[in-house]
Amino acid sequence: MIHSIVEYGIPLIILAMVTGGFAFLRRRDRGPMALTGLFLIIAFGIGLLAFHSGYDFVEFGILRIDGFSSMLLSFFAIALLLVLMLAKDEEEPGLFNMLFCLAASGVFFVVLSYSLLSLMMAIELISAATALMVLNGGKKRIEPAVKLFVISTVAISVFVFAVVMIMPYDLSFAIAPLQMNTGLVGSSLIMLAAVLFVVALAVEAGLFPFNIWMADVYQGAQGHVTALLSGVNKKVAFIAILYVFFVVFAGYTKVLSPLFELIAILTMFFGNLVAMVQKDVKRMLAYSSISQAGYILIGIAVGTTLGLDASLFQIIAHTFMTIGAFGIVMWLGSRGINTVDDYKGLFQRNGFMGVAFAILLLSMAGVPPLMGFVGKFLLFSSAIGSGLVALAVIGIINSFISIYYYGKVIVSMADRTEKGSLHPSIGVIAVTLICLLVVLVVGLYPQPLISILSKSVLSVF
Amino acid sequence: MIFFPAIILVLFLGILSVLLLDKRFSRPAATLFSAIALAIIIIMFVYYLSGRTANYSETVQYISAFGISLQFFANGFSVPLSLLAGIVGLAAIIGGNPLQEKGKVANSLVLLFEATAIGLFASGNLFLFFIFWDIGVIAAFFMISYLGDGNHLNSAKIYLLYSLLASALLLFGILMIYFYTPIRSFSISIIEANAQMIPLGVQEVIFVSLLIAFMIKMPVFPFHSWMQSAYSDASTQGSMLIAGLLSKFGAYGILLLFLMLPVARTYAPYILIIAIASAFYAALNGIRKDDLKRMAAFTSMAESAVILTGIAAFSIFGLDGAVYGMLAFGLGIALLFLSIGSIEFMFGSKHMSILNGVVKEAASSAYSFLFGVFAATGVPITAAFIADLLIFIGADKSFGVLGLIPLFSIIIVGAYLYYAINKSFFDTESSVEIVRYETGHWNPSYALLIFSILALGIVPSLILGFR
Amino acid sequence: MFELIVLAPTLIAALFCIVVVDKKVRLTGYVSILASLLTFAIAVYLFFYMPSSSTNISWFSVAGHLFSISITSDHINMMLLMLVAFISPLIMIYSMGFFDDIKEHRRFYAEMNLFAASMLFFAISANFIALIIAWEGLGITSYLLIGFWYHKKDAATAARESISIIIIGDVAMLAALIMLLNAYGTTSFAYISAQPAGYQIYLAFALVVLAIFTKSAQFPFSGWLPKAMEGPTPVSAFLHSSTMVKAGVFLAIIFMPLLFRLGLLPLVFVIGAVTAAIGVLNAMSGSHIKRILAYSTLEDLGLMLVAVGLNSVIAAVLLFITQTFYKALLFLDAGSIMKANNEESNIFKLRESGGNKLVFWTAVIGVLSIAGVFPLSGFLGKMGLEVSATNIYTYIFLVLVELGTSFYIFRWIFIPMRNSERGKIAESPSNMPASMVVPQVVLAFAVVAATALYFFVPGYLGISNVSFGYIAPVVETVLVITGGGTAYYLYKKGHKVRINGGLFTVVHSIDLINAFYILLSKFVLLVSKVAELFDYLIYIIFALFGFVTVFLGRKMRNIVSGNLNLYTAWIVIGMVILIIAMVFVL
Repeated sequence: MIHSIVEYGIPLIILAMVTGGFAFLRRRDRGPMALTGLFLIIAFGIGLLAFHSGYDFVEFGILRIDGFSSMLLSFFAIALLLVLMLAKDEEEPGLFNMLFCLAASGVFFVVLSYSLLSLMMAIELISAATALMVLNGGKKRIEPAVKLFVISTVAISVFVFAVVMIMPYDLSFAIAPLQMNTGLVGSSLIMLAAVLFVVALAVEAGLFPFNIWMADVYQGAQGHVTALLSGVNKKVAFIAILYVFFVVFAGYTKVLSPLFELIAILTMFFGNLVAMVQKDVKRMLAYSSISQAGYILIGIAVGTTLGLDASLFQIIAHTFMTIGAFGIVMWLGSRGINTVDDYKGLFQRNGFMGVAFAILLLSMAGVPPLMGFVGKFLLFSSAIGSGLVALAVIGIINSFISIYYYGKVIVSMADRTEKGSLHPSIGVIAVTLICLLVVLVVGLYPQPLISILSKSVLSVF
Repeated sequence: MIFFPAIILVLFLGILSVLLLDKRFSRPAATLFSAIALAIIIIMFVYYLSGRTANYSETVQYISAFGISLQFFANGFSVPLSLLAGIVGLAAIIGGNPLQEKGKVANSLVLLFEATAIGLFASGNLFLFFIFWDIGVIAAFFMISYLGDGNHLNSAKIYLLYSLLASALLLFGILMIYFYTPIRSFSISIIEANAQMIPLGVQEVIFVSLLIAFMIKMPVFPFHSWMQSAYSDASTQGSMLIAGLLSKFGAYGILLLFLMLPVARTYAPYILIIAIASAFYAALNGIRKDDLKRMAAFTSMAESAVILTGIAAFSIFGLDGAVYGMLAFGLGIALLFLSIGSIEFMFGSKHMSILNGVVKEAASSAYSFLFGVFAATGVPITAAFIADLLIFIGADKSFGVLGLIPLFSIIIVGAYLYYAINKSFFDTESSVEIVRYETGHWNPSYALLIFSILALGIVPSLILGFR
Repeated sequence: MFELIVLAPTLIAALFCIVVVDKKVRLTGYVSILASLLTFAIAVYLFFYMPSSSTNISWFSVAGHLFSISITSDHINMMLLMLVAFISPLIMIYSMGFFDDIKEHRRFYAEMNLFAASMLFFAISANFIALIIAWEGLGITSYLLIGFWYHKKDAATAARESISIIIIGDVAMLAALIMLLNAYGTTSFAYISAQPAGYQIYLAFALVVLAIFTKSAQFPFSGWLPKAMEGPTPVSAFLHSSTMVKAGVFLAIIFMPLLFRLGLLPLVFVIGAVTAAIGVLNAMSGSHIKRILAYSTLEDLGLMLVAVGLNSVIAAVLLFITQTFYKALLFLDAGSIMKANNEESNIFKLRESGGNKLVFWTAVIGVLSIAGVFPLSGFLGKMGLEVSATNIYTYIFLVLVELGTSFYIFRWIFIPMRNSERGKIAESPSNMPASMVVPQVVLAFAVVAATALYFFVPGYLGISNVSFGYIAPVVETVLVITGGGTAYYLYKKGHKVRINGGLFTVVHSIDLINAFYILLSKFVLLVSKVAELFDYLIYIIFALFGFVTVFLGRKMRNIVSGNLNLYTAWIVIGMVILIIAMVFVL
């Protein structure tokens, strides 16, 4: 019974969302969004169900249900829900809702995909929908939208190219270990394909030097869209990386590890160093996101189970941190508060939001006993544990550098000001509260989450 | 057995009540909870003095992959140091914030700090140590940036940068210890037993990394540049806690370092040289300061150098002396900062050049400061005398006459402190006027601190009876 | 153990003074006097009936080592105890009348009682742990009492200077204690005194001698004693003449055999001699009534250490005892004279005694005693010293010193006498309270009676006596007459003498010593300035790191130029680089 719920429920939900999105395209009220929210909650429930039942099967040749994907299903459902809550004040709810549903279904597809082809199409779907979301909302949004679109297109093209290249070795395009054609030993073609995959996914995941577009796009888009980009799209790309490099190219992890190391180091430094000189908080957070991608990549570079656990933990942690943070930034942006100087006296103006923001920032900086600290701790431990001590040291140094700009904002918030108090909308408060709670609670008691993650990782890799 | 978790729980309840209750109840609530915590500490003290163990180990895991769980050890270090935290915390709450500016935040930060300190001193594994360390860093940061005055934002930034460098080094060192000890564990007792198996080169890397981290915190020359602005611009409570407790984090860390890593002991003579340099450097800089708080800050740095000498000596005398020193100097410096704070409050200035004849209007503050100076220079019947005695007996045993050199920095420290007193406090020929007539509740705090310093100076077996 | 009782009355009195309500402040004086009399009674009992012994009181233990406080009732300690206990009530009574403002009594008597307790504890100490507790107690109470009058800026400065110098000795003493403890496992005087010479003990006792020099204001640490006169007269009389400053000397006496074995006695001798010379010379030119006496005290202390340096116990002890009486007397007189002259302290401006004959005659007795007139006890002290001189140079030196002494002390009394003759009256005299005069009279009697001690002291202490022969007394009398006569000629009669050049510098040499200190402190300040600059340098180095990082950040920011073509170009560049990297890996 449960099996059937899971087996049919998932495709049904996705279908429902997409059709619902189209159906209510023209509506002007928030109803469709609420409906979407409902669907997301159902998806979350199904994911939990599937996880606990320990299923592992393939559906329609393109969907795979196992511990890993079901856990991610639930997780992304929550993340998407949070973004949705932030979008409460969207001007064109119907349109937004449709695009959102498209993107959401794309996300689910990626998470559940069993085939490289479906993966590819899902990513394309997400990119397209997101680009349109960015476009939404006025003339100022054209530039970032265009940038996003062009970059995404380039990325997808490279991805297609890469898929084509591994054709001789994997006709089924299944996300399963490559069948080694023993005749073509360690072939350079496979390596080339691997590189191209890295490039393609790195663009979306925000790894150096493929992430230069990010700051402009993040800053230019509306707040909730940025939250989506940073909290969901980026993570989806990472999941894709996991699938491609730890399943498809499973035998090549040792070879690819130095590559990831290099990229991770460059990404961390780039993100942190440029963030230091930013005055606009939204842009600063964008670069901070970039550096966080670097940290996550450390776990991937390490490659052990512990490393993957750590990366996943940090992925989850960062999603909550970034959605919460961008939500607050969005709210303040709508009041014209953008630069670090504008943030002056925030503690005074709204104590709760100020403190929440500070806590989220501290979590990103890696201060215990918050979730971000646990994630970084796991990442650095896994690095040292596998002998990649230099990587860990660089990671710690970068954490240290990041304190500077997070600290700058917090210190500014601590300053005294004459301005009056501020009040956010319900949506922002709710999202902030949820993210804050997750960061605090999981930070204090991470073991449950860690064991869930270990279990799910083991089921696939 | 559940003493430590109980203490920390009480303090957290205190924080909650302070945050939730109305502003008027901040200080009474904070005082109540802090007093309860102190009472529990004293009970634990008595319990432990009679020889029963009070270790606490939680079975629920934090991160089971690393075997990290909630562990608190009660031993000859953690119990006396918890006493220090309890007394300084209570004194800070009662007297440190006369007008209760930003009362809720201030009181909750003090309670948080107190809890963090006790947690750190009692932690049974390095992971917990690190967590409490970082929380302490952030709490102090807010005390400087949000509650401080003067150039507080800048000082807070500098402080944060140095402290987080220390944290980074600390994390690195801890992780290295974990992964390179054959029996992988964060538990301090297990590490102590097994660390000699770490390869020598790695041990040295860990040693340097952790040493620098702790040297930043104490602070010890040459990593001390954050100190004078931070100590000076923090609020009164902030200064009391940072000087009295936070610097002891570093001292305790070095103590653990010496206990855990065998290589540390081979470098002890170099540590002594660093301590000598730091002590005199601090004393010489203290002479030049006009701001009383900066002067006290350098005094604290000189005292930290003395504690470092004791740890480097490493014998029973040295270590007992070091712990005694942490207690004695911690209490003494808290007293100094409290009296300076009260004077700044009443007279509107903390600069020697402006203050004159304070004793005329503020006798109790003046005499408390005098007593603080006695405590700093090691006058017998204050706890500092016992500390100096034990530390230098140990130093002489381990290093010969060279070990006694840091002792002579006291001459310089005494010289400038007495200069300050006689210039600003006891010379009423042209005395300054009181600016603010509201009184704070300093006297109970003074009494508490003075009583503790005297008690520990007259009955040393209270602390030393552990061994 | 029983000896500790002697501390009880003073400690209780101190506590009383601290906690008594303001209304009853008047009681502090009476309670203190009572306590001091009680102490005297106990001291007498101990003196006569307590057998010679030591006891250990354990304090705390570390690693199996027991720290304990040793106290003793050896005869020499009892002797000091008696002296202190005798002077103490006299001072307390004197203070009652001395202070006009009752409100000052509380703080004064509390501090005085604490001082007395420290001094008594010092007297019965038998190991270094007890010693250092008493030693620092003496230093702290002295500091508080010198700076007693808050409204006098000079008093505050003097107090701080005194403790800054004494703290050097305190630290040295602690270092010595530690070295001795580590070398011998105990700090007991008896045990250590019996040890043979060695490197450790030499170093330790060099430090002890240093501590003695600071406490007893020997060269080059003499600067603080003249300045300490800013304190109230009872303080000068008690601490800075008869008891505290002699603590160091007492210690030297106790350790004399060991110091001899260690070869430190010549150092003690030389420093003592220099100090005595400084004292005499500066006393000859002083104009502040108490300062002259302070220089005189320097001379006394110097001479005592000379006696120690000559390895003559009897000389040192005799000088020690007799000096107590006449010095205390002279200071009390000075205080009375000042009070009678409305606190005028310049001897050229005041009238002696202001009409109270008792004050005048007790002063005269004091003067005669210090000059060494037989049969006053001062004579005894001087004799002992002269007879111990081992070579001709020492003898000549002592003769010169004594000549100078009689000169300056007669000058001290003749100038005021002349003032009143020539009608130079400061103010009309005030009433001299009996409480001030009575102690002076008692001391005057003591000064006379103490001569008899010559017969008792050696036996009590178990040392050999010394005979003076006939030549020495005659020489002494000649010296007294010469000195007194010169002073008479110059000052009573009013003949002027001009001194200039080198002689002037010499008799004002105390200024040189002070100049030395100013130089020293300037040097220390200079060093600290260097330290401060260095501090700033370190700060800059760290700031540099930050600067570099920010600079890098700025440079990298420029990559993000906003140009889409560039962004895509970067993707291609990245791809190429990765491919190349991949090729290398394979």
